Amino acid sequence: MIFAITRRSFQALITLLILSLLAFTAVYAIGDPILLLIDAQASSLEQEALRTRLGLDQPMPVQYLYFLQNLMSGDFGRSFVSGEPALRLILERLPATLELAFVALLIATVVGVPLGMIAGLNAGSRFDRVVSVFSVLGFSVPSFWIGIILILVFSVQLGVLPSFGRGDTATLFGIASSLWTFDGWRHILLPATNLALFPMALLIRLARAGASEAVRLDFIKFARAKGVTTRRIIFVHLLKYISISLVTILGMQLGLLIAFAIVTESVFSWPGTGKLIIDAMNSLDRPVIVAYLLIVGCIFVIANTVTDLLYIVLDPRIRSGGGNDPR
Amino acid sequence: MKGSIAAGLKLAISGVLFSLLLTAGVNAEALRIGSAVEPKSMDPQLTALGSDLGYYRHVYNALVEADESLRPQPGLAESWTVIDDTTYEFKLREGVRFHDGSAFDAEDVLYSFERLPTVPDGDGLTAAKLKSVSEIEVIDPHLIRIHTSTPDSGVLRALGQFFILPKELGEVATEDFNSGDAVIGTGPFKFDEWRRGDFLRFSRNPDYWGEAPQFDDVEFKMLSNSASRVAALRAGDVDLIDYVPPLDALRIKQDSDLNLFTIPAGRTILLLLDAKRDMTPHVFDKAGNPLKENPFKDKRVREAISKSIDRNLIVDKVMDGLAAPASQPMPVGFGGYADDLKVPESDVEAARALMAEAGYPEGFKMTLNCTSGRYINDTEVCQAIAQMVSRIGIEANVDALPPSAYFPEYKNAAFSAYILGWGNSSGDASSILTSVGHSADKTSGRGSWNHHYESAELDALIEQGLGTVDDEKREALYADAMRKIMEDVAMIPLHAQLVLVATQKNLEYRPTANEWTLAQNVSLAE
Amino acid sequence: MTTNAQTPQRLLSADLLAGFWSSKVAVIAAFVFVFMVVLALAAPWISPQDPYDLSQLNLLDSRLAPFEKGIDGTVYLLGTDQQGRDMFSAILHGLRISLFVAVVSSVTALVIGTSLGILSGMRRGWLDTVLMRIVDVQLSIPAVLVSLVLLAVLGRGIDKIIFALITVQWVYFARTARAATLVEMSKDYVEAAQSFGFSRTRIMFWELLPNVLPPLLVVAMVEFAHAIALEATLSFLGVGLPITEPSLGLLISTGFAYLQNGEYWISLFPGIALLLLVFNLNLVAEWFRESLDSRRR
Repeated sequence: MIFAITRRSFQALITLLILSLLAFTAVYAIGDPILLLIDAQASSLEQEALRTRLGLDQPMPVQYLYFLQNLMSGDFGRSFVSGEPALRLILERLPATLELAFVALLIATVVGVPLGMIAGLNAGSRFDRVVSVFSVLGFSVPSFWIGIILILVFSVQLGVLPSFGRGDTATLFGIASSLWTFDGWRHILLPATNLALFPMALLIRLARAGASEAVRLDFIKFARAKGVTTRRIIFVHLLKYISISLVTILGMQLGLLIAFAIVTESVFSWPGTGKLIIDAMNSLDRPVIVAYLLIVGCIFVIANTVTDLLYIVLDPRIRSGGGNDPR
Repeated sequence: MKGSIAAGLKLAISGVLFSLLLTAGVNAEALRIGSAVEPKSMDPQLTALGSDLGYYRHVYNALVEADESLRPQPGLAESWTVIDDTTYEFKLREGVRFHDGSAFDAEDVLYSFERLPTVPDGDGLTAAKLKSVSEIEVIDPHLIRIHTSTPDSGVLRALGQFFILPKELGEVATEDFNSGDAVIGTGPFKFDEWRRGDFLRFSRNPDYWGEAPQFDDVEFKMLSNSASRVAALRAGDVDLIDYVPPLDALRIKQDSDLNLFTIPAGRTILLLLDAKRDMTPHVFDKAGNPLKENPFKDKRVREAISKSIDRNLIVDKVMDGLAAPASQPMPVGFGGYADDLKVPESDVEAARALMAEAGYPEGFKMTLNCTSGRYINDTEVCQAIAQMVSRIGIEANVDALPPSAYFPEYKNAAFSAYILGWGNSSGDASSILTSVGHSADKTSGRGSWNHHYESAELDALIEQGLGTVDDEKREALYADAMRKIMEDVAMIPLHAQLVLVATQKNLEYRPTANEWTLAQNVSLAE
Repeated sequence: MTTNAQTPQRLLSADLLAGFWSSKVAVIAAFVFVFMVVLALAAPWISPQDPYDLSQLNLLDSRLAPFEKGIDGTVYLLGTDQQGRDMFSAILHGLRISLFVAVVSSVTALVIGTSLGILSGMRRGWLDTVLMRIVDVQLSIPAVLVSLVLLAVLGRGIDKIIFALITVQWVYFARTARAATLVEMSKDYVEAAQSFGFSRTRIMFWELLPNVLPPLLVVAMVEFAHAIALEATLSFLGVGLPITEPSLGLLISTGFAYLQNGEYWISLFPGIALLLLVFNLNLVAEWFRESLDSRRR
């Protein structure tokens, strides 16, 4: 088992290294940032001077080596645009994104798991069919479109919820978050619901499969025969049974939601990392793009590795990670 | 830490007391502004992006400051005199204090000037504009002379973006500004807090030397999405928004709960045609083969295209009436505008005749290169042009690129027919004539944006204007250059954008032509 | 081949189709989807206007509401966009582009992914390790992110978006094909074929492929819908297709600005078309998946 864990961790490290190389190479090719950074009226001499100052005149492998060396010391480079360390820019925005992902996951779990379980217990019923059509909807419809409809209905037509931005923040237990204020919740509701749809569909499906499988198992049959109420079966026996797989799924989902948030944050102008990366792409802010990819990549790799390790610990027969299908 | 909290408290209390005692009648509310562009940094010497300069203007002053129509006005310099072609003398304002309490004098000007070219990662643009300044001579603490190496008519305007920092800062880095620690100026507002991507807060400077702003606290909310900005204003979440999309501006104008304020902006949108090369990359015959000769070298073709474009229709339908059809590259009221030029009339029949005369009765195919998201409704404008030139047989394929891809291609002269919006933020024609009008010249750096047209006659006019320090004579020369450009169809100006700012009913705003959004220009409506 | 009798090929047999006809949801969904494909194919003949021929557009007719009359008396069924383009025609042509991008990318991804997956499952060894490593890494990163970065590098254009979609999609096919191959390899008929001395290529194409096809078809349907949705998302974010030939996603994106002002039709109608297309295709795929699953038990 120790061997498996070491091997898995080593693999994760290699993956990260490859990721850093890919991110750097990909982003290197995007274009010439100089022309965006410098005002139209500047002469070509001034442009060259700036190029040298930013190290953009060096050949690519040299730039990459510098970059790796700096990574080791926690330096992800400076934003071409703002002159700030790229890492700091991302860490500044991360709380907003985490907040959004967290609330989305909460909504998805609270709504998705019961729906899926009830559907699974009553497989084939009308309720089951409606829920499964709904879950297909959550899987298939592009989330930006749902976001637009949410804005159209709740902001434009009904005017009850704001359509953009993050609300007031407050600090509690040393954590500054918009979740501590009423205004914050008003703002987060629409984007979080939007972001929740995909994981909700996934959870419905998993909970439904788990429940419909479990009802065939002996201990549930036994409990039913003993006259235990359906509610008790659902919330005690069944939940316990499917919770292990759900928890690991949830862990991975949090990482994925950070990436999915790119779309939601763009629709709702949410000041998180997703909006940052779109802005950075539009202004060719290379260090920020690379830093984002690496940090989000890290989160994925760590989440996946931990999940895999959990599997190894729980069930030594399973060696390779699987089942994770991020759309 | 404790000390600074106590000091902060003391400051806050004294600020509140001060405002209670001295400014009875002035509303002491917070002003919330929904802003389209976030500053890149709070270091006023890092870059000279138009969108950043406006933010700096809250905290800092310059020696000379532009008014709404971009004429130089006294700032930290009370007055100035032109001693000779290469010397200006400035009388500095006395009794002005920085936010930290230190007094302003000539040493601060020197300090700021010396730091300017040393800022790491800066764009060096303000320094470049002040390149001709050879010496700042301190005569006494409140009298200085600025010497230039050659007669330079641009210095006075360039000083408007040169903000004065207190010499007490010593060695400071851009990060010290971004954290707020070093953001100390003489301006009407003090720096409060900046959360990137979210908000930037200022509070009123009770000791401001000039006209006191009407609001105690100002919060800029960063709302880059224009639809969000408008929604925020309608929902009452903000009091003022900038860069209102024309479509919404129209509705806001009719809305009795909101006000709209406009001023012609310095930015003119131009259509440029490559009339320089013998073969140009993106022009084809109807079958799609590259044309052997460049049709744009023929003035008749350029004129035909200009005549096929209905500028009023574009302004009406694409810009929703909130732009001014352009008669020339200079917007009305800017130095160098030629009063006698008229907006070219659209005349499809005459345009067709010109095309036939030039040997293209059937027209040709071309790519129309265009930015997406750089200027107001830019891709829509291009599509409208493509529609209009199709009436004279030119099949234009619109290729819209994000600015990050567009401008490198532009600089490589990769286009044949393309658009450019030039912001004349200096208030006169010198910048567009130098960079877009003058033919390309590596050594002087002139014509760095000109890949489309060369004329010795125009060059001569421009050079003469640049070296003329007398305002009236210089502007007459610039106006002649405008006439030459229009006569030769060297550029096809389309329209000038408007600065559009919307507020709640209870507020008034004085917009500025350089598109800066200034809290000190907001006042309560009568 | 008699050995085929014991293979899952029966899954696509007549009784499966019979089951299909008895599922109301699946039949309606399939019908709507096919109807939309037919509309898209027929677009050049049935749409009132060629939305890409600029000389047919008139700026004077811009942003008309549904059923409003243009200056020459034409009635625009679903209104017009900001260039005076008939929305009905634009949606039909947009459907065409969205479907074209999705077909080309999913079919290419299917071919590449399936070949690599079967090969990987048959040969095992280092090839298998390397390929599955790549698949694992790619599957751990969301498709939106991968394609966004690719397009940021490549730039805009229909060819580039197809390339990005293929890059994202092949792994799903490869994973499914490999898993199915591993199952099939252990079955008698493959061993029988091997004992006959058939070449590897022959086994791969004649024996294995027909038998791993059913699960792949489900993946193909899901991926096809996924490609449509992903292209729309990328176009909405402004990194997808060029504006001159708008796909559904781009139409929605340009209409977004007008939505809040009550000019809903530019965004809403293409959105409904997109929704119907993707949702119905997924419903059909879902039905197939469940049927295959239940038959396998």
